[in-house]
Amino acid sequence: MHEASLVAAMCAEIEALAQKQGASRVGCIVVRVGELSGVEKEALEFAFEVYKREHSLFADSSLQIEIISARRSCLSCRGEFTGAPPCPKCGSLQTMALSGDELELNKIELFVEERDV
Amino acid sequence: MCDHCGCQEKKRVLKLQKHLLEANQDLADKNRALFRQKGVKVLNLISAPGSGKTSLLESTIKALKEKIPLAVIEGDPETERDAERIRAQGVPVVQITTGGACHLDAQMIHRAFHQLENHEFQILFIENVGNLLCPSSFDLGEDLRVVLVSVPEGPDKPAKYPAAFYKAQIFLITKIDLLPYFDFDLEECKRLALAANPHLRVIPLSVRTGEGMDEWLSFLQGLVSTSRV
Repeated sequence: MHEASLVAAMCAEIEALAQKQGASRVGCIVVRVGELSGVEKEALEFAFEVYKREHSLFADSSLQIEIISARRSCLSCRGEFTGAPPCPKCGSLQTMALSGDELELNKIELFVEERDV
Repeated sequence: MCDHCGCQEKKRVLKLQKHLLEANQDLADKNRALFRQKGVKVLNLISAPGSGKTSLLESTIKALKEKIPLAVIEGDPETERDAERIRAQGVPVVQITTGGACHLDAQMIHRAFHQLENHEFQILFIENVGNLLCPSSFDLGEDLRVVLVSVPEGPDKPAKYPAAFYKAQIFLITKIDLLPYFDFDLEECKRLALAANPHLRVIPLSVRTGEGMDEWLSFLQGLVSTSRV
């Protein structure tokens, strides 16, 4: 369950950003997770729900997780494709992942009290 | 102004492209620079519990310690048991007890490396916490990642845990002295591993019979005799 460590690292990052912006609440958080990152979507959601309960800054936030399919190159026909082997063009299983280990904090909504409007 | 109640709260959307483990990534890069500066090759050993990481290290140290100065960082949720086994072999070792956490991170390695500072060594083995899933997300700054699967675990681990194999350079199939007693198809296991990562170097071995150990040991010796793998 390293998803708990991931959530803690992510939220520490967001807290620092929120502080810099003078935000009082965090809204929607968008993360992008590669299929080869070893991260379980459900476990990440669960870890975030647990974290939320103990950190008021995140009380109203929601976590949106986008799973990114790996890009692969085929070692037989040299073509590139997205998704799991075999290669859709030639059927070869000898492929190499070009991406898929993304763990990216992509977007956050912050709510800021504007006093000088 | 807020759409709901007219309060003065405004929504700001920040578009980012930050790595979720950015802090770990930064520290891992620092570790890598530190290892390079000290001229140490670092191997991160990842496997499920019981695949034989500690036994492999014991045999490796026995065979190599007169030729290459070695050191070990041991990661476990609890106890000093593995460190005691390594210490008995007469090489410097630091035990990291993670207090139940399922992986090592770059910060833990950084601290442990400083504890080894008074020792001279050319290869540092990091025995990660026994877990084939979580450690793969955490770069420690290592030069090489070594994944182990033992014969009793079954040949389909590379298909089930692609993340562990995708970023590794070496795949050790351990306990091959048990092949006669298990339905373990060695070729199938190799095929699945190479499907996850065609650049993997696969070495089947047994520390009990010594089969395959020569290839592993000469690979390690090659690491320190050349500046690049």
